Amino acid sequence: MTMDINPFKELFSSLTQISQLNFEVWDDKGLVFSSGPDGTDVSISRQIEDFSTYVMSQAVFQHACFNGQQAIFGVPIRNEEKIIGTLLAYGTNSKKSSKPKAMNSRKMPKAKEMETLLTRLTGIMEDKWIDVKERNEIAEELSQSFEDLHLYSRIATQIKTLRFSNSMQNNLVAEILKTMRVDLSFVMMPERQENNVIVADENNSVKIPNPESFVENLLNTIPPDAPSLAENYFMVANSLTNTEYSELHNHPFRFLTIKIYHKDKFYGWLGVVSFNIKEKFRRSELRLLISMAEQLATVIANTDLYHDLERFIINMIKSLIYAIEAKDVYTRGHSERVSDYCMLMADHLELGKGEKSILQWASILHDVGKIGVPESILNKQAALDDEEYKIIKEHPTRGYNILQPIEQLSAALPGICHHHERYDGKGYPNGLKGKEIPLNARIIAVADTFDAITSKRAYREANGAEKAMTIIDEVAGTQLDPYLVSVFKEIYNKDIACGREEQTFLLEVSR
Amino acid sequence: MEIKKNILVIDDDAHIRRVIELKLRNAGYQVLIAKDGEEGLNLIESLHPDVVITDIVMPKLDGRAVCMKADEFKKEWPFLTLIITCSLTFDEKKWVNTMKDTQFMEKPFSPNKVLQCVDQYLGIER
Repeated sequence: MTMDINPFKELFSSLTQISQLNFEVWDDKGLVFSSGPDGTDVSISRQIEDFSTYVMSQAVFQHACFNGQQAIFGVPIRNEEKIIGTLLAYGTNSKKSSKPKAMNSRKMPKAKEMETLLTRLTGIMEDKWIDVKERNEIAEELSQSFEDLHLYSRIATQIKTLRFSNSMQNNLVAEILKTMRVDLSFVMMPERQENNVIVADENNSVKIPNPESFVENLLNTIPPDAPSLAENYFMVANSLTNTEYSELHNHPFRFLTIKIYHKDKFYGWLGVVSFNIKEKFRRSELRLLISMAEQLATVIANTDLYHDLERFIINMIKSLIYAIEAKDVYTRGHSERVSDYCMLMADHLELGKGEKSILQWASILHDVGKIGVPESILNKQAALDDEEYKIIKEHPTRGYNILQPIEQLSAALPGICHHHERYDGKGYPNGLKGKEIPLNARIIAVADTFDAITSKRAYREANGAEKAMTIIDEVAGTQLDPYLVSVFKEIYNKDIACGREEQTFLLEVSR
Repeated sequence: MEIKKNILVIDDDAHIRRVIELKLRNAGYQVLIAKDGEEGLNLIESLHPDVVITDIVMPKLDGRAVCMKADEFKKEWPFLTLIITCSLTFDEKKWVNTMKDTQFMEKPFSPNKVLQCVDQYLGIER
């Protein structure tokens, strides 16, 4: 520790002015401070230095004479028990002239008094230095907690918005790099390589030629029996102290990685690398990374669960539709085709992602109510009587009732319930008119009509697409929404007509 | 390493002053301290610091007034103003953007980043 004399300079200078004593601080290398005027005689200086060395070696108060009769006093200065220098005092007049003028012995302070004074003064200095040191240590700790707080506040925001998408993960990994001030950060998942993220600081002077293989090597070098793995992490504080790791990069580095782990399922590793080995990974950083890895694992697990559920529901619905279509040989593939047409129209109408998804559910399920209609009616070759027709007309309401318990499909229900309403108000079940009919129902009605005309029925053969378009055009404004018919015409010309022939052929074969 | 550059820290919070002071002093800078905006402004005028680090909400004279005045001084000699404060409102961001050589950091701030920012402005490489 160096001696910071600055806070005491004024004190010593004032003491010199009133006491005719010079105060000097020395360390083992030479003079650190003198309260007297500059330009001490070299020969005197030499003697004083010798005296200082003597005081340091004796480690207690000393007094002596130099230049024959000049008295000099000195005490050691300690820092935590170790002697680091001396505080000396001698009469000022000795320096002013080369002609030594003896100080009156009566004027000269007694050794005992000087010992007390000098000991008190060094005591003050030593206390001050200890205080400063402690204060700096506290401030350093405070500074570290500021870093932690900053880190937490930045990462917490990222975690809050974390969804399992690549861009979010990129943000998280980039934020870790920035806030933890490391040189490389990564998420590596062996079974989901498409989600792997490695971010390296491009401005760094130390280059990693192939970050991906570097990270792979880091992970492959983890000893499987490392005790810290029980707590889901592994750390190398300095690669130089670890032969296997020192081979991975010619510049020494430190490395910390955490298992991404949720309910006994291992997903991969979240980790950081820094080439600044002067700093260490702090306990708080480890804790933060562990909690981030936990969050990440939870998000991945939830996303998996969500996708599983979604797939399960889609498959359930498909089975449901196959069940209806199994009863009616003529409408096989109808629901899917209607849904396809609806999606083309939705794109043309520039519906949002959410609206589109609702329309998709509504269109694929629009005939689900036919499950309650007897096969004899569905497949009847002759014209239907009033009673049979009444049963057929119940299918939109039946569909509504069947799906109503499924809360997640509630938005799709109006489209299903009203797809047989007519634009002129003569449809069923509610006789809604014009824009009273929900948009989805009007869209489905157009697609449904087109597919019905172009499909084979129990009572008639399939009509050609061109004829279907003519019929649809005729009922625009009465049965169907004229604007949506015009939309359908456009998508027909653009998307359907060209692929239609081939499609019909395939459908014929499958029947 | 000793750097002959003066950094003035204005904050009414002793622990924040202390942390920034220590960080910068350990990095070799000369650090001046002011406990409020008024004291800070006097030191800017008399000592011409190379960087002024200031809070916004302070007694006597707030950080905004300090920044405004600092902006006038900058016509005569250049220096960096670094505002460290709890999140800036949209309005505050607007006036900060109109000021010359003025940056801001949100609390909780990173002392390391403060040092980085100062080093960068003064062209100090470590």
